[in-house]
Amino acid sequence: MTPSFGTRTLERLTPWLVPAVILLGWQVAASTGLVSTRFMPAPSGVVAAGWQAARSGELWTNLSISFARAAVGFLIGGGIGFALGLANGLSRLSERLTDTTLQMIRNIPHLSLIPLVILWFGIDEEAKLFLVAIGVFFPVYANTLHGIRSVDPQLVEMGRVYGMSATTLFTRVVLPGALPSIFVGLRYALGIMWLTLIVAETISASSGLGYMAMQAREFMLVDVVVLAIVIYAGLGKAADAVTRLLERRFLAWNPAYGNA
Amino acid sequence: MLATALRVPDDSQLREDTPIRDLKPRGVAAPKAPARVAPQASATGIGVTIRDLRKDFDGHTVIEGLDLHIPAGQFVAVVGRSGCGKSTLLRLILGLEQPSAGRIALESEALRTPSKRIMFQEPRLLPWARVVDNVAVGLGEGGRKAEQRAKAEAALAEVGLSEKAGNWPATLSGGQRQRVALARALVSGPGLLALDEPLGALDALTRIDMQAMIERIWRAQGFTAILVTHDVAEAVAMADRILVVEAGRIALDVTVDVPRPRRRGDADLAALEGRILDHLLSERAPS
Repeated sequence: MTPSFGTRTLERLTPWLVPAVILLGWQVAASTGLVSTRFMPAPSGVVAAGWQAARSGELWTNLSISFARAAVGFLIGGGIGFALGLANGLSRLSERLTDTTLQMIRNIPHLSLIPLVILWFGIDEEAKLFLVAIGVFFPVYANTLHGIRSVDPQLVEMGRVYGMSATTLFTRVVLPGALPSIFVGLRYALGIMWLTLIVAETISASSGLGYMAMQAREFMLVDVVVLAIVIYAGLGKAADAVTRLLERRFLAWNPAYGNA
Repeated sequence: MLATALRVPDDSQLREDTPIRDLKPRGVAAPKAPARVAPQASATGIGVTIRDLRKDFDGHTVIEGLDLHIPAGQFVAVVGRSGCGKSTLLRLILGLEQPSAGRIALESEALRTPSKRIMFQEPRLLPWARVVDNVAVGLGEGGRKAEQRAKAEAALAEVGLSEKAGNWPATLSGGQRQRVALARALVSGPGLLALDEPLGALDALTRIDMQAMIERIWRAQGFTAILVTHDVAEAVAMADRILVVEAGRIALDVTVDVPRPRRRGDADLAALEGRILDHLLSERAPS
């Protein structure tokens, strides 16, 4: 028996039930005066603030600036992490040369570098990019390395015996085998990417979402502060959805992901 | 078998006139069955000659003073206790290991690439490649995509899995996966097929089906087959000749003189199986 249309709709809506109830309770609490709107604006107030910011163009400017920073920082840090993960996974020499150093650096909380980064770069773009890149580097590096290491050696032997060249062996056996682990790294990295960017923008920036929230705090615009937080939640969910989509596309062979 | 002897080697080796399913019980006296399935020079098989072979691992000798000739097209089973060196012998013949001393010569190997294929104990399919693409791995690199696909599909038909071509390996049963592995090993039309206990992990009925399938394809294509197995009954049912390996030497070399198709439970086969088992078990007897 296939699930009816109604059942499927219900299944799709279930994850949104809890957020909806929270929103509703929040709205009721704010409208009845249970919670002062000076400290916690009603959802309707946040929507109004969002509408106003969107109309003035301020929201889009800040959003696109933050998005560009996140993307560029992610590409730099993730790219280097991926490349080093591959290199160290495939070459013992490369691993011996760099892994110890990387493991030492990894244990430094990257946000503790903020004072140093401000001294180096001021509050320019480089500061934010540097922090995001460092933040996403390690999850991508560590999971790529682990993924390549955990590729089934029996499959590698099969590839060799069946006459695959080094390039074919990499693209057809090693990389696909490492992909599930690489995706785990990607997910972690996306979370860290937003976290790092917001912290960096809150502390030192003259534009972006974090900056918008800090400005609003100066003027006691609670609704804009909450708006910024809601947008973070939305961005986080969007990043997660993109990863899921990619996993379904590239890991469809794995019964744990897509439904082949 | 006689027809294959005269056949000119061709690329595909997949004969269209071979029935896809031929597992039905056969009559006692098949009219065409040759009285003796002795080795005969085959146009597609590769003969193997080994002279005074030795292989050491870290100063420990695994194979010593081994001489062997396998005529082209013969089906040889290698049995022996764990650690007797039978898998090492197979890996040496395939060129996966280098001999410490002695010589292994494969005749007419240069005429064909790839000339040797192996089927492992595990299917070793790429989980991220569709069944048909897994079979195409056996064709090696290069060549036109469409042509490769056609060959892979023909090989899948040979093992009775045409309808699974677009599936992921994860959706197949253990026996089906091993059949895909067999198609991958045979798709390039190798002259030598090495079977390293390929049926050990299957249940008894699936194993019998697979034995019949391998035997049927071997008879149709005429490659040389070397089967390493623990299962003496399997060796007796499938092979022309059985080699018992003991402490790195060939201790017993038996020709199986029973016509094909062979019936399970045949008295001659049972007697032969008993003889080989006795030999294997007596190895442990105090000397």
